[in-house]
Formats: sequence, C-alpha cells, structure tokens
Amino acid sequence: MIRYILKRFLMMLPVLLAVSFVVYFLMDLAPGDIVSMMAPQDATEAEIEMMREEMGLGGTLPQRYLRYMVNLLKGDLGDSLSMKRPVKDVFFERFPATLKLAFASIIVAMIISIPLGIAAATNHRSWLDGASMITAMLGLSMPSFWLGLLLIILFSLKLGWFPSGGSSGITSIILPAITLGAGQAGNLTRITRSSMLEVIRQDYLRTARAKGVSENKVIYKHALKNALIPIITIFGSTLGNALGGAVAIETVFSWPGVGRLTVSAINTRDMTLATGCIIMFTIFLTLTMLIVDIAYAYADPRIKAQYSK
Amino acid sequence: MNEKNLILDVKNLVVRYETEDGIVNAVNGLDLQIEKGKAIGLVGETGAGKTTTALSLLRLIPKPPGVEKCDFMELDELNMLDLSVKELEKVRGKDISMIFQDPMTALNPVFTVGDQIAESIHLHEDVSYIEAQKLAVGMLELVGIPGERANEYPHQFSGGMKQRVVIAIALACHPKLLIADEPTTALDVTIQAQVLELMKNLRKKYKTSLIMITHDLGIVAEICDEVAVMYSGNIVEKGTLEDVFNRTKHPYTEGLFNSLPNINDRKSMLTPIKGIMPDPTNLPEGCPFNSRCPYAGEDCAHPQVNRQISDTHYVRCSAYDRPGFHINRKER
Amino acid sequence: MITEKKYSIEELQAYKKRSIASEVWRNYKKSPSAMMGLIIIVIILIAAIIAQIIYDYNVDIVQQDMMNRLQSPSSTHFLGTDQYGRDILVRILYGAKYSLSVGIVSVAISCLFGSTLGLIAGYYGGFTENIILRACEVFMGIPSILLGIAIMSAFGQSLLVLMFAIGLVYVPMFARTARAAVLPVRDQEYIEAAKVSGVSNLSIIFTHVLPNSMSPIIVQITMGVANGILTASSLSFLGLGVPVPAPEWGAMLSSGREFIRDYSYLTFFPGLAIMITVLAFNLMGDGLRDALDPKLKQ
Repeated sequence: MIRYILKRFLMMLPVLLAVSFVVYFLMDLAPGDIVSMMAPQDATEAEIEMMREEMGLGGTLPQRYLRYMVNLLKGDLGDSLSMKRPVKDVFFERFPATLKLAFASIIVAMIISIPLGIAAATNHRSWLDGASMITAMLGLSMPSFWLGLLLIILFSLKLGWFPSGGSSGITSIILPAITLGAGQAGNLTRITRSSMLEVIRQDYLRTARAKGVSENKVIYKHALKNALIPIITIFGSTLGNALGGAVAIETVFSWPGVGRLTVSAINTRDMTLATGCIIMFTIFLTLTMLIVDIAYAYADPRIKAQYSK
Repeated sequence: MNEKNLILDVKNLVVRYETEDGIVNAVNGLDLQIEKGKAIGLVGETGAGKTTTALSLLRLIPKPPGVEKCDFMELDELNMLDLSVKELEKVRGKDISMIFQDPMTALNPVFTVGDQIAESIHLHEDVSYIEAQKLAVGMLELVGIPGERANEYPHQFSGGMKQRVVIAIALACHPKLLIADEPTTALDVTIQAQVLELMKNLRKKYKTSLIMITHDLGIVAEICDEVAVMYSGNIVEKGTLEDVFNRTKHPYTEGLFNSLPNINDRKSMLTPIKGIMPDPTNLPEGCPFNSRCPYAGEDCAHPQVNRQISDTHYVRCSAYDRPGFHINRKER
Repeated sequence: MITEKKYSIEELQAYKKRSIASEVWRNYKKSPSAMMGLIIIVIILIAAIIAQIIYDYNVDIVQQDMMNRLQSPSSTHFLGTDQYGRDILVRILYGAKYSLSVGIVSVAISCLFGSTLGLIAGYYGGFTENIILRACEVFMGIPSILLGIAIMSAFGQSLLVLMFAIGLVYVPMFARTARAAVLPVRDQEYIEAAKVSGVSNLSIIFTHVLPNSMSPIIVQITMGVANGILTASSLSFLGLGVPVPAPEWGAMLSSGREFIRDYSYLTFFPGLAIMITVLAFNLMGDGLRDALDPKLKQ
C-alpha cells in the first residue's frame, strides 16, 4: 500500500514539473512584464534588459524558468505588482475560500443528483425518468455563470433572500454553491442513473429478495452501495471540475477566491501573480486528486486486497 | 390430502410474461406436491419453465411483465397466495429459500460474506446483530469454510466456495423447503461432487425438503427421492426414482434417457430428441411434445390430463388411453 | 429458379458503407430528443448564415444608437435593446457566428491532433504511448479554463487564438478516446496476421483500427462542440475571449451585468442562446451515441 502511494507520488512529480514549465512558458510569452511597465517611456530595449538583470529577472527563457522554479521550491513565488505583496501570501489567503466553494458545490451536486438518479433508475421509462433526464440535460448545457446571474436576479434582487456577493456568513455561500453544484449535478445525475440501472439488473439483488430483505432495503442498501462506486471513483475529477468552474462563479458572485484573483491578475497584467496562481492552483488540484485516489483505493475492499497481498 | 404430510401443495399454477414480442406462456397449469423431508428433482431442458416455477413459489416473479394465476398454493399449510408483502418477506429465507444457478453473481460484492449470512439470520431470528454474526461464522464452518474468512469479500473466494456461501445463506435459518436451481451447473465436476455431498449432509441434518432443479439426471439419481419431468411449462411425468428411472412411461422422459451417452457402448450413436421445444408464445393445443414424439397419434391434439399409474407415479400422456400402448424403453 | 447476381467487391463495400450509415440514421431518427437537437442545430446554422449575409457589422451590430438605449422587448425590438441602443436579437443572431465557429473549428483541431495522437499511442504502445499519455496528463492537469486563459494571454485575444486555445485544451480528451478505442483492437489476431503478411502499419491503422474507433470519436466530436461553446463563452464572459465589441454571447452577458437590476433581459437572452445551442449539440451527441451503440461492438 505504501509502495502504491509512493509510486503515484513519484509519477506525479514530473507531470507537475512539466505543467509548471508549460504555464510559465505561456505566461512569459504574454506581452508586458513588470520591468517594461515600470521603465520610463523612452527607455531603450537594452536599458530595459539591464534593469531586468539588476532585478534578477534577466536572461533567456530557460534561465528565467530555472530561477523561477528554484524560488518556487524555496517557497517564493515573487511579488504581486498590483497587490504589492508576495504572491504566496495572496494566494494562500484566498485559496481556502475557493476550496470551501468547491466542496460546498459538490455537496449540493450530490444532494440533487443521487436521489434524482435513483428515482430515474427505479422508475425507468416512466415520466419521472424522462423529466429527470431532461433536467439533467438542461443543467449540463447551461452556462454556469448565466445560471448564477439568473439566481441573483431571482433570489437576491427580487426576493432579497440571499446576498449577491461577498463572503459574509453562511448565506453568501448558498447561491454560488447552488450555481456551481447545479452544473455538476447534470452529469452526476446521468451517471448515477446509468450506474443504478446496471446494478438493478444484478443477480445479487435477487438473492437479497429471496432472503426476505424488504424492497426498500434492497434498493437503498444492497443496490445503492454498488451504484455509488462509479460516482466515488470520479470524485477526483468532479473536484477538478468544481475547482475549474469556480473561476467563473467567483467572478459572478464576487467570491474572494483564487479564481477571481487570477482573472483580475490577468486583467491588470500582473503576470507574476497570474503565473503563481495558475501554477499553485494546478499543483493543489493534482495533489488533491491524488489524495482522493489513494483514499478511494484504501476504502474499496477490492483494490485494497490487491495491494495488501 | 393432509394425511400425506405435505410441505408444498400447488394446484394449477399458470405463469405468463406479457412482453412486446408476445405472451410467453412459461408455466401452464402445473400441479406439484412434495412430502415433508423428501427431495424431488425437477428435470427438464432450458425453457421448460423450471426456474419460473421456482421463482413463483417464492412469489418473486417480476410483475410486470409477469402474470400469475394459481388455484392453490400452500407451504406447510400456509396459504402463499394471500400473504401481504411484509408477510412474504418474513417467509422468504425463513420457511422457504432458494439457491440460484450462478454463484459468481449471486453475492453482493461490497459486503463481506459473513455480513451477507448474518443479514438473513438477523432478519428472521430474534437475535442481536452481533449474535447473528457469530451464528454466521458457525454456518460458514458448517459448509466447510474457515470461520476467519467471514470478513472477506466474495471476490476473494473461488466459484465452489462462493456457492457454499450461497448455501450457507440459504440454510442459515433452517428453512423447511429449499429450492436449488441448478446449483452445480456452473462448477467444475469435482467441485460439483463436493457441493452435492454438502447438500446431502445438510439436508439430513436439518431435515429440509428439497426441490432440486437440474437438467442432469445423474444428479437426480445422486440426491433425490422423487423426480418430476417438466416439458413446456408442465410436469409430464412424476414418480419416485424407481418409478421414473426403471418404469419410465412418458415418451419425453424416454427420449431424455436415450440421449444420455452410454459408457458401456462406446460405438453406438447418440440419439438426441428430434426437433425443439415449441415456441412458448405460440403453444399448440394438446400435447406440447406432439411434434417430436415418436408415438404421436390423433389423441395427442387434445388437451392432456394426468394419468395415475400407481400411488406414487403419474404421467401426462393420452397415449396410455390406447389399448396396449407402451414405450420402447424396457422396465428394469 | 433463383438467379444469382454477381456483385463486384467495390459494389459490396460501397453497399456496406451506405447501409451502415443509413442504419445509423434510421436508429437516430427513432429518438425524438435527438431529432429535436438536430433540427435546432440546423435552424441555428441557417439563422447564423442569414444573419451574416443581411447584417452589416458596422451598421447593425456595433453602431450605437443612444436614443434607443435600454428598451424592453417590444414589437420593434423583439428582445429589446442594450445599453448602446443596439438590437439584442440582431446581435444574438449575428453572434452565433462566434460560438458556432469556435465550437466547430476548435473541435476540428482537437479531433485531428488528438485522435492522431491517441491512435498512435494505442497502436504502437510502449515508449511512444507513455510519452503521449504523460503529455496528456500534463495538459489535463491544468484546469481547462486556466489553460485557456494562459493561452489567450500568451498569444493575444482574437477569434483565431480562441479557436486554437480551446482546440488545444480538448486534445487530450480526443487522444484518450481514440486510444481507448484502439486498445481492444490492437491485440486481435487479424492485426497480427496483417502485420505478418507485410501490410504497412499506416495501412493497418486506416483500414482496421480507424473504422472501429469512429463511433466513440464521432460522439466525442458533438460533445466537444458543446463543451467548446461553453468554454468559449466562459472565457469571453471573463473578458478573456473574443474582444469587445463583438457580439459574442458570453461577452454580451458580461456587459449586461451592470444593468442586471433593472434590465435583466440583457443577461437573460444571450445566456438562453448559449444554453439552447449547447443543449442541441448535447442532444445530438446522445442521439448519436444511442444510434451508434450496436455499431460500437463491431
């Protein structure tokens, strides 16, 4: 088991390295770095380059990248131009908010999709099945930021039940979580339904009925536990989608997370901040997905058996 | 009929499935009586209606598309036709239980085998769950699996051992009647022998009545006291082992015996029964075996009735109304 | 007497191709939702093309008419006017061009590069497969929106770059799908036989491997268009996609935000347009998947 964890971890490192290079490379290509913005209007290219050298930002791309990575490993992501603070501080200040939103949205998604998927599967081909599938389809196809704005119109502006932005207290997380969750619920409902349809046909349910287990228990204990396996398997990528979707939602709801931070960093051409955000975001996402995968391997008896032998 | 001390008494069971492609007449007016403590083999080809009959006895036919009609069905003097869903759930697993054909898919992969046995005990006996788990370990040992394995999952067991677990689940509450639907078909021959041996011993221990559904006459000879031969949704011949094996009466039964390869006569050709079973969505009037029967006559086009040969033996064949009729198979 | 007709190999092969296609079409027609999706797409396409022809960008789309600003939906302006007095319906119809073209072109890019990479990875296996898989992992590790943002920053904001960015983002998905379709085929004995008889690898890929992987790739294409449209509009919403004042639907949503309190129709209609288009492609994708289903086994 430990070996499996170590192996996965080691395989992850070169991927992260490559990711950091790709992101750095792309962001580096973007016109306008700190120095050229700070330099006086009439400075020549040579003078700007000299300024870069002085500030430790000169050299060829590989040199700059190496320097960046060394600093990253030391925990230094540079300083944000727009916020006048170390990128690292700004990022970690905001990251928990994004995590909170992502997890809240997954909870919302599960609350919607699991019962709906079960209802659709156990009432296969009835109107309930059709209606659930149409709803799921709509959820999948809706732009999340549009749904967010619609919810703001209805619940914030017209009804005044929830705030339309900021992060003050429990109420402010509800609308963004529902928005983000609804989008994911579309896909999760479909998966729950098809998984449940698979499981319902299985022989072991007949064994349970022959034992005298009540129909309710057959569905909610015997069948459901099996049907949820695919959902749990994709929890990692669900989280990935949630974190990715948070970027737009944070903007809609002025939620103080790293998604909104990244977008405003780009809009203000604060490349150091933007680069740091995207790289850190990706690193954390990959790490989280690895942890989820390992936790799953640990929890599923079939996989656990493979690794303890 | 109560002097006979019956565990099961079924009269005129009819089961059909109403599907988009037609109405499948799976069981057509079946009568069945089993005495307490006896084992009866229910023999027939695939599609004869054996499994449907078994499921119907447990009231597990999926409705829709299944439609059931029965004049009389009593399990140890309990009227099965009148029971509510809750009452049925109490009876299943406790008074009557069933073993299915494929052990590989019969167990829930996400629960331990111990839990799956304990669930049955906990449902029907008045014990705590901890007690039930202890009893479950006992059952495991009884079927020849070390008790420590109770916390393992089905995928960690071989096919033969899985089937033992299934037997343990079925017998955990000492049911009065056990229905075994081809329990050894999916297993290797050597494992087959072990499982049959196990079933024989447990039957003796608990005095369980048994319906053994199989297409293998050898298994019937091994483990059963009586035989009922099913064809196209009905029993065409029923009697003791002696009756059916040595004093065969029905042409179909004869055909079954003839199609067994003869180990002593290696050179002889196999004689299968010509033709195939009639389409259950389009059953003929009269005897369903008519088109394949070497003794077919005019009387075969009329609806058939049971003809008593002896106290224990009856056959459903109108040919026996013809004077002097007998089949080719000799009596032993 | 039965008369025999001799068919040539070419005729038989042509018949086989034709009848598979018509079989799939017959299956597809059975689903009402799939047909609805197809009809909606056709309508949108036609409307988009007509809009391109009859509306002039400068006059109808961009030119401001402050006298008429912020009019609610009425008989002259069916969906109202925006804060610059421009007719929203006209802008939406014209803006279909951006969503559709990004969706289609980006998918073409992803499909071409991704499927090729996937086929190669699946077929050749070994080191090649490993490298391609790792590369896919790298690009899939970066959340698609952030990757899109990074590419747009690097190469500047324009319709072309947007197409390329989204195309790149979805390459790994196609690579995976193509590879997954190849894997069960590559170990078949008839492949072995073909190789042994000296058939070139390229030829094997095209005649044996590709036809079997067509079905999942086709489904992935429609899903790719749907996802591409969503991602493109998200990027434009954030101000990082097609530059203003182009009437891209996501961008329209974004600019309507400041008036959301009193003029909610500014945000409602463009979003509705996105949803209907994406829904149509999703329905079509589902319909294709079901119609191709028996074929998937072939």
